[in-house]
Amino acid sequence: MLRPNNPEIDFELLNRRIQESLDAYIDEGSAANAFDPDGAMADSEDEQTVPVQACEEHAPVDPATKPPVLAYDDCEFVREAYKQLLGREPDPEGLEHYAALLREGGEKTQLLERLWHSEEARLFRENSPHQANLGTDLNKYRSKQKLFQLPLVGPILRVLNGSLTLHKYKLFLNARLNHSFRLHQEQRQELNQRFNDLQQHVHQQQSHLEHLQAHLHDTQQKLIRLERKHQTLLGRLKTDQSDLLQREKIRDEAVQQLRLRLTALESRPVAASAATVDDAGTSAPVAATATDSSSINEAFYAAFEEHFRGDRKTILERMQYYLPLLERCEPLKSGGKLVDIGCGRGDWLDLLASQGYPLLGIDFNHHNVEACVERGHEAIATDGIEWLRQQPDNSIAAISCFHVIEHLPFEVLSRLLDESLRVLRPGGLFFAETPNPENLVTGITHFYTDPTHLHPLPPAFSEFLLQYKGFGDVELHRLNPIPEEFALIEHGEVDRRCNQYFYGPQDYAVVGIKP
Amino acid sequence: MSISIHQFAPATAMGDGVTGGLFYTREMLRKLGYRSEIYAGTVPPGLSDEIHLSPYLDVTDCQLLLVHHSMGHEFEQWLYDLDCPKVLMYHNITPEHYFLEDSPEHFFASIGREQLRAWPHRFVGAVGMSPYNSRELKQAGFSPVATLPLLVDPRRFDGASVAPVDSERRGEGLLLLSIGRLVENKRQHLLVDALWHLRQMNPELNATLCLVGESSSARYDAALRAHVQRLGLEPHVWFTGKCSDAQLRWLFEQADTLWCASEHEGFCMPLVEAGFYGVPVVAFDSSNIADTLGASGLLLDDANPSQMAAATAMLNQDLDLHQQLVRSGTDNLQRFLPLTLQPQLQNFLLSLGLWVHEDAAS
Repeated sequence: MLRPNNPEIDFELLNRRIQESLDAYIDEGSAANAFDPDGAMADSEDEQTVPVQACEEHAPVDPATKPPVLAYDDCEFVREAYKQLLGREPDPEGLEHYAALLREGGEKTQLLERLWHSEEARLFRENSPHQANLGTDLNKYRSKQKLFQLPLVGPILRVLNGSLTLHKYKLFLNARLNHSFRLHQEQRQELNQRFNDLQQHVHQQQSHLEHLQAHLHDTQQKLIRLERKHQTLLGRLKTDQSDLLQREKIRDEAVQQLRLRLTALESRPVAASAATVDDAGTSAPVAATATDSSSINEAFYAAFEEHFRGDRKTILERMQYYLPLLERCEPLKSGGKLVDIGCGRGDWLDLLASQGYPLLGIDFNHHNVEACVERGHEAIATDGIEWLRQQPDNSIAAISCFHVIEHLPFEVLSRLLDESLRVLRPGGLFFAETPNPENLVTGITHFYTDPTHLHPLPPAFSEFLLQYKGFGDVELHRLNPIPEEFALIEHGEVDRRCNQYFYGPQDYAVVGIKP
Repeated sequence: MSISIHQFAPATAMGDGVTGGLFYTREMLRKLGYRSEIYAGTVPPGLSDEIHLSPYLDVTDCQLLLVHHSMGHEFEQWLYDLDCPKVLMYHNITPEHYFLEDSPEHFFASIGREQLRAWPHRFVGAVGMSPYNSRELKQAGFSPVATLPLLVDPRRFDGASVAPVDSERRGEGLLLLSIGRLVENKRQHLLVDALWHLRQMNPELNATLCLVGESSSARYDAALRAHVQRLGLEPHVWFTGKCSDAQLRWLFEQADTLWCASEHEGFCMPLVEAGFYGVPVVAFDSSNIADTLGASGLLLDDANPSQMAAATAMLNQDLDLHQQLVRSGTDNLQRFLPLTLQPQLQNFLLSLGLWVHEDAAS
């Protein structure tokens, strides 16, 4: 019962109440359903065998309370007669023979007489006189038989005896019939009960089977779905692989061409290369980029951007992510200017127009700048870094670069950051969005859709670079994951990792504040 | 330079009680001003930022190593070779007879106790996670021994709760919760029997038993499910499998009573957690159950399912008793929180001669 473990509770009272409730409770069936630690379902067939043999063994009976031999019936009678007259158990043949006689209507006393007169019975009586006890029933029978055999009187006595015992026999037969009927009813009830139990068991097994079949069906469906997904992924991987091989081939060819061009440039007269040196006397890396990019026709690139940029509504929705960042930028709130380097066709400027910030878009591409101007924005076609170089210190509130830095060689990127840090006001914001190579499909496929992309920039590198250059509060924002409906349903670590590497954020932004 | 007290565990796993205890202890050590890291023989991918692999342990920067012991392992020689003082953090080991012979669990449980007996002279002290564990440590010959249940990280209670996938099985009636792996020594079959009795005694309560935990014994799992089926309790016994912290929060919020029939528990964290959620406990007394439960639940002397059913029915019909146990559960929780344990841990470390300056601690 309950062990007292809390001084504020009257456990004596609680235990009394529990005991009362247990006393009122009748436990029906828990013992029959005890836990079986070794198996699923017990084999109930073994437990339900019905004893149907007519002549089964019985437990020994106490001699003091033993009834007279004629009180037994059927096989028990034969056994008892054998024991008393022959001193042994009946052999199977004897048992069968005498039981058959009784079942054909033979009288017990006749059977006893036959045994009595057998040689074996005589020897048994001689050897064990105290065991050869027939009981008073047989003696009475034998006396009667002797009287019935007397001449003349015998038949009269037989008729008289018959008349006198007729009523007694009738009562006896009635009692036996009733007894047999009751036994029959009881057995029938028991059989019915067992039959019902069996039916219930069969029903349970059927339900269990149906449950298992449903489970099997579900599992098969899951396997089929998994197999489909597996095939789809395999197909995608094969496509990506062949894409990659194709791109490698194109890149090799491009490298080869670049080498040839480099050789050609190197072989030019010195005076020609001196023309690319700017007024300050430093070689402008921007010029190098311009040279590379200039190999791509401006009109082509504008068309290319138009084809691959995606739908404008989606782009604007994605760009809204940055608005809270701008709201925290004090120099911008106090009227400073935001400069968008690589402004493209002015989507970001469109979004900011309603916010009231002074804006300027800068882009190399004349077609893009014209589009921005047509939309009512201030925009100029020039090299962003050169433009920054010409601005005074602490003069700009915020600088944004959407998908620009992946076009720049390291030296140019480094200069962009140096100049940005110089021209930003204290507290001014710099951020750059670029494809995220942590998403492997982006890193190895989509990134190379743009022929002017150089190489992907891992987030950790960009973060480090801004910190190294002196920006404060540097943060990474991973953005635009593949929508969940395209991802795998996660059942385990493999799915989780596949989702991370193939369906994770496609872009990220690195953000820094001028201290 | 501050003192370094690091921790070692042979294996770590996401959501594992011992691993949770490692983090809890680390936070407490750091609050006390010690530098503290966790090292382990195996580290799951999701924890590689938090836990270092054992070969990276720099013994020259380790004034004390807390060695967690909850199962036998093969790092014994590596530990011997580490030239730094060590304290054994004992979580208890499930006796090997609960596992199948020739199984890895049987083997490691067996050598775990052999290691315990062989190690006292190699450790400068020991910490039992419960009085039951401390008694075993003292019998093995460890000294000094402190009882510090550094397991119940209150951060586990933070965060949203999430319903398990098949939460419609919760039903409308009384929800009885059991948390622990499905294994012989947890004796969930007695809970199934108790549910059967409770449904016979008080059908109006319409009780459902929710068994939370994955199986670590296929034989027991099959026998348990067959037992449920034989008793016709399939609609009323809900096997959830292993649940996340968020799902456990949901189940605790839904539960009316926590049941525990376990035959062997080194600590049994759910008994304490139930106190946070205001869920009273009914449990059979065994191993460390009485110590962990304190005054916060009904404790039955005998593993008798019908008594458990009667006690549960009474508890859920007697509002005063219910409220008394909920109050006791909240009080019980205090014993395991940092406010209580942090000074005790500090005293133990001071007794070993390790202290930090107040400025480092701040």
